[in-house]
Amino acid sequence: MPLGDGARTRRFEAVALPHLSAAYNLARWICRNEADAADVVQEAVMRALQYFDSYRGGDARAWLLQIVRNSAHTWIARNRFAGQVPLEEHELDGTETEATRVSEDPVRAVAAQIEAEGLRLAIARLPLEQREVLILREFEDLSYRQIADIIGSPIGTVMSRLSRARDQLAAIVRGDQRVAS
Amino acid sequence: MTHDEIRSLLDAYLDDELDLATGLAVGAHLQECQQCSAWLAERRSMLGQVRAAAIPFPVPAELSARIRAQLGASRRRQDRHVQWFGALAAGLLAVIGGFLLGHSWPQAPDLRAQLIGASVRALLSTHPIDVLSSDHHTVKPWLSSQLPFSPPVPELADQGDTLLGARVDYLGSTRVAALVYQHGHHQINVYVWPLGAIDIDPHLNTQADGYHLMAAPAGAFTAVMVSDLSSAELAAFRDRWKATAGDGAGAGADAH
Repeated sequence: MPLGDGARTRRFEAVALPHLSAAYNLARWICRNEADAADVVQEAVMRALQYFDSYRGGDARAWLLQIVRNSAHTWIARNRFAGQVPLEEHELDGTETEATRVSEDPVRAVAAQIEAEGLRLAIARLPLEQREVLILREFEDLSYRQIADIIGSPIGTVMSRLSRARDQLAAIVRGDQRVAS
Repeated sequence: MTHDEIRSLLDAYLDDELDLATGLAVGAHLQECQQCSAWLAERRSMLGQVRAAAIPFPVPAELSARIRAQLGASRRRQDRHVQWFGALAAGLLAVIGGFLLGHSWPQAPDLRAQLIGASVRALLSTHPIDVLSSDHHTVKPWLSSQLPFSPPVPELADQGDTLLGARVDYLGSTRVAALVYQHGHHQINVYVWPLGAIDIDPHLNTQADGYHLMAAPAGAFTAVMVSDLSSAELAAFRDRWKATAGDGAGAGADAH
């Protein structure tokens, strides 16, 4: 036996842990709350370690995100069954709003902040199937092929979900501008 | 293709996901169709706003700790079954893996190794930057919102150093700002923290693993540049950075 499993775990850490932030962000957007996202990510990382032998090189982030996505969906299915997921209840972190605190141009910063918060809220309210595709594309910059692999659907599905998600956000941005002007 | 067919492909066109022939056909249509080109322009601008709002949720420290503990337990459990030569090979692999990936978790290496490790990790990561912007009006407020201080963010584009953006990094348990610049084909990570938050030789100028490290005092802050640039080039960058950071020191020194 040339290699111990401890080495396998170390190798796994080197491959997977750099993508922990992307993993948590995806889970956070799917679950829409911090505690559940943390549980999903922890479970996904342990599952990824278990399946590490199936990782054949390639984009480690896409590989990990697929496992996170599947874990998140399992979590949703489990909780929906129990009827206890407050899916529409979304709390955005207060972290971003602090940008206004020390900015050089508070008015501009506040305007940008409101715009960004509005968009994040709009993204959070997208249906799950559109939301996850949008996050993988706009936040993670993955290709349609990679997204299709992660969600286990054809590329055509990725295209239509992404377009619908963007249409909704575009409508909101246009609405904002009307209100503002 | 009809106007409606083209219209349904515009998102994929924007994402550069069409095959060459289809892409050319859409491009030709856009030349003639005002409606489609206006739509595309609006879409681009909207997506710009989305990307500006796409700040990742920070990983809760408690989650990192939980995962680290669980992986550590898994390693220790598994290592007990390893023969001595297996252990040797495993150790070697970990050292090599750690060296290649700059991954030094969970030991706490010295500051120099941490700085290089953080830079290598950032280079290898597909997400080296949390806030992607060449505009210090965007980068600085973002950093201020993530950190208990507001670091200087000099723009040096007119001197050949493009600001790519910034992220928040950890050195040991201290959160620091990491500014990322591009100079030619090389990236430069500039770590900034309030004076005294981390002790470092203010004249640090060293190299390891092909990286150069140089410290630079900057008003109320300490900065350390890390890059695979040559020593002379990095020194020149450090001087340009210091000079410009110094200009804005009044605005930048409001650590709180």
